[in-house]
Amino acid sequence: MAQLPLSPRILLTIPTANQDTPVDPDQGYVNYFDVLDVGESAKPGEVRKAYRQKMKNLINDVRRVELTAELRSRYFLDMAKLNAALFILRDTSERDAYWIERSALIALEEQWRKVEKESRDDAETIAREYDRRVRGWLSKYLEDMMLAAGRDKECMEASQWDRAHERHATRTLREFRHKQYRSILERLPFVDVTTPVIDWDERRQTIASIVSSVD
Amino acid sequence: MAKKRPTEAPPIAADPKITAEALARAVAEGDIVSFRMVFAPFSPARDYTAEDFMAGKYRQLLVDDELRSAPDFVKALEAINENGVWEHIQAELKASRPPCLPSGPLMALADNAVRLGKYTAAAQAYEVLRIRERIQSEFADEADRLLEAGEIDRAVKGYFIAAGLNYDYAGFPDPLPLGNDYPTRALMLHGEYPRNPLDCVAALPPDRFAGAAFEYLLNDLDLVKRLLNHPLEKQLAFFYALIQRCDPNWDAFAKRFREACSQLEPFAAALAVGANNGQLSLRNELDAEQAGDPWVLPITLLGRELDDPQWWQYLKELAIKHPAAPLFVARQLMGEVEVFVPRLPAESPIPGALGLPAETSAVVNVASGSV
Repeated sequence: MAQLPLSPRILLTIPTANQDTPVDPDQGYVNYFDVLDVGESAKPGEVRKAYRQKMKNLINDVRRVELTAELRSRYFLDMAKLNAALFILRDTSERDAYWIERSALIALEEQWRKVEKESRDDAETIAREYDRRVRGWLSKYLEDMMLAAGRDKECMEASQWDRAHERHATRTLREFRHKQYRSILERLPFVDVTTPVIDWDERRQTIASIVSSVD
Repeated sequence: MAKKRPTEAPPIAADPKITAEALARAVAEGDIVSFRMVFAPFSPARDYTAEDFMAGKYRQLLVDDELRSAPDFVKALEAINENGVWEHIQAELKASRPPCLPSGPLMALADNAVRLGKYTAAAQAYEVLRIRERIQSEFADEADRLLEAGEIDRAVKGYFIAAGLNYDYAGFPDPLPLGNDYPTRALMLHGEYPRNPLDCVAALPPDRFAGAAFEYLLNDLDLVKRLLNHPLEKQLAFFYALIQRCDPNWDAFAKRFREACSQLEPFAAALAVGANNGQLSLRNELDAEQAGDPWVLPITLLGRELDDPQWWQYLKELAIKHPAAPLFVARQLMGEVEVFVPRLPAESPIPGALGLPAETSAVVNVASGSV
């Protein structure tokens, strides 16, 4: 497989749909190296060590607090992220595949922006291809891998994750995936609709008139 | 038997006037389904399809003379025919790919949908425009301002709209407008059996009751947090107005609730809590069974008898008819029968303000836990 450029872990100035603010290119593409706080060249032993320490801390946190529905979802998500990080990063081939796909996706996003800026004819084709791939990537690495990790023996032992957790976490993971997709989408040019011109003062007046109107 | 082959009908050219009117109608009526349908690959607005606007199945897209003269429709048609917009629409209808919707008419559609109370349609349109969360927060800001100014009914309307624009990102297979599924939420509210009469929403002190009630009625934690920042007096005034908005027939329920409270009297002695740390014992439940037919209580509260006598069936239907009613009942075992009974907090201004009786066996004393 051809070696694709790794993603630059620096802030780039990417024009967003509504404003020109710097956006972290990692935003939305979960970085499992960061989840475990290990370097990209970390050996499987270091990955395991970091995972166990983080999981231990998380379980201690869970035991210390009184769980609400909101907190439970957050802990499920944190636990699923740690499990997925171990599941992917401990295996060299899995880790390489993850990082290459992630880097290719970031490169495709940048290519789309470039093409869009130059108003080239292939912008739409690239946009649709990017959308297809980003959905697939998020589905694989933010949901499927997290669920698969929860069935892995090593992860189950360390996190005490079981089928009951999986049933409860499925909804949380799907919500997380869709929110990540949404956060990526919000900084990209519009495709499904023409770019809206929004005057927020006019919007506020409309809202005030709607709320004040008689039913 | 030979497989029947589909016959290929010749394409029918679309009349641009009908297409423009169909879009204008969708915008005026806040109908995002019809709006999207005009741009669908099989749409009669596309020249290469054999679909015809005059077919009965597209009746909802056509415009009659009465609608043609309606101000909202005229305004929407002007927006569709605007320079640039109509050209874009025509180009999209000619292209053979997923459409790029015109944002101007879509925004107008969303606003009209909110005005007409079609919040799920509005939420979808704002979501496509990527401003749903911001619009939701603007509605909540306006509602907060009105609540501070003492305009309770309008504040309720603002919060109600903001809650209506919510989205469920865990929806399957794709995110969907959240809506408010009161029957399911009512069951969640009563998911755990209250061994102690205080273990139910109705028995909570007014400040905690307001929080739980807002969460149940609005189904949005951010909005609840905003509301809880207001003084308790305003929260309660808001709560009373919110109930009236959710349930225009609340007075009919209040009347039935008062009747159910009087029917609860025979059971009151059996369900009185003494020792046992304020918990109801098996003895209480068996005594209650002897006191009469417990089913009269849910039947009276609902106003009709169900074929399938299960407490949760009654609760679900009650939540549909009167969304706020599940806040004032509690599950109760009486022998082998489980029903729900009216329950109210003691020394609280809430029942009186809602037309519910303050002095009744349904009142649970927060201090002692006695019924």
